[in-house]
Amino acid sequence: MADFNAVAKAFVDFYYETFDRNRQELTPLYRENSMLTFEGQQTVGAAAITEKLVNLPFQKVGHRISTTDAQPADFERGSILVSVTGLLLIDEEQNPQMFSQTFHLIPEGGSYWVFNDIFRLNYA
Amino acid sequence: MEAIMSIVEKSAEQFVQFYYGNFDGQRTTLPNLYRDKSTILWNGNALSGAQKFSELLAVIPQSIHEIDVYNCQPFPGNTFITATVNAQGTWGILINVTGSVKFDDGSAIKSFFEVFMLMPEEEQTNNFFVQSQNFRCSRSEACDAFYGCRRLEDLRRNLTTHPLGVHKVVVDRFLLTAYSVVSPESATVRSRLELALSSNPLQSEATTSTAGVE
Repeated sequence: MADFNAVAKAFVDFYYETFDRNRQELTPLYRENSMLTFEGQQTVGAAAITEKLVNLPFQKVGHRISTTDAQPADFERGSILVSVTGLLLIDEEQNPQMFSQTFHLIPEGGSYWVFNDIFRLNYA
Repeated sequence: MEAIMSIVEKSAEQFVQFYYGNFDGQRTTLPNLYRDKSTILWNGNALSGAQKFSELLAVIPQSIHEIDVYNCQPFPGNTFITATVNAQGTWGILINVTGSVKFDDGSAIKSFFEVFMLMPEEEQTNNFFVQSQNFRCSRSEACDAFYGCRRLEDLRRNLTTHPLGVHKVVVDRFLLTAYSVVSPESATVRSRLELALSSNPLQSEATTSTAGVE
């Protein structure tokens, strides 16, 4: 079984690099039954999720990751729980916003896709 | 899907209230929610099993959590291949909690983020145990700014300069509201600021100030 910490690191690097560069390219990471809760709004399915992310009201975005934590979700199936905290810089903003995000990753054919995705901005 | 979600949300609500209520009060019943295979991460420190979690609970100082918001999602308990959440199958619950926490060790209020992965019991699938948990907390300048403010002027100044990314602060007679690009106001932000405003002896006037570039 792959080292879940290594998988998490690789996934997080890829996810945020892709997100910051071109959100449209995130589609292959989701499937028909994937679920995204973005700031309380729920979306299901790769197509709808990508549409939601692409239509977020900003052009430029940069994620700066503070912490990445990984845990095996299910040893038998090899699924992984990844939790991320960090900072988000949007458009021309100088003041970053703190965020936290959780991914539930499912293995498939040598890579992983996202079943659950929960994103929150942290104000407190 | 809606039916599943409402059950999931109810279970998540019960869990969150139980967990933080007991964590801040009597922690002795919490380990019952864990099994030998439960994995816990506490600010990066990994441990597993109810016993270890018990030991951790005993050394963490008394706490008061204030939950800002939490979200939950279900996931299939058995197979991901067809990967549909249906009423017949078993399902687990993923919960994402954010808020602030004060530990009784002289440290300042911190912001925290916690993730729980709940799995159904094999025999009684209406009961859940904690399969995985991840707790992260950090000193937050926003918390310092809000809780340290005694005067309206300090509050306004802090809001315009701290790195929270607040775009517009509008002070009217009774309500202070913070806006951001991506999402509307947070309940905690609003209540904290209302508290500061209501306890402030100065008369509030209608003013607008902006932080960051509009």
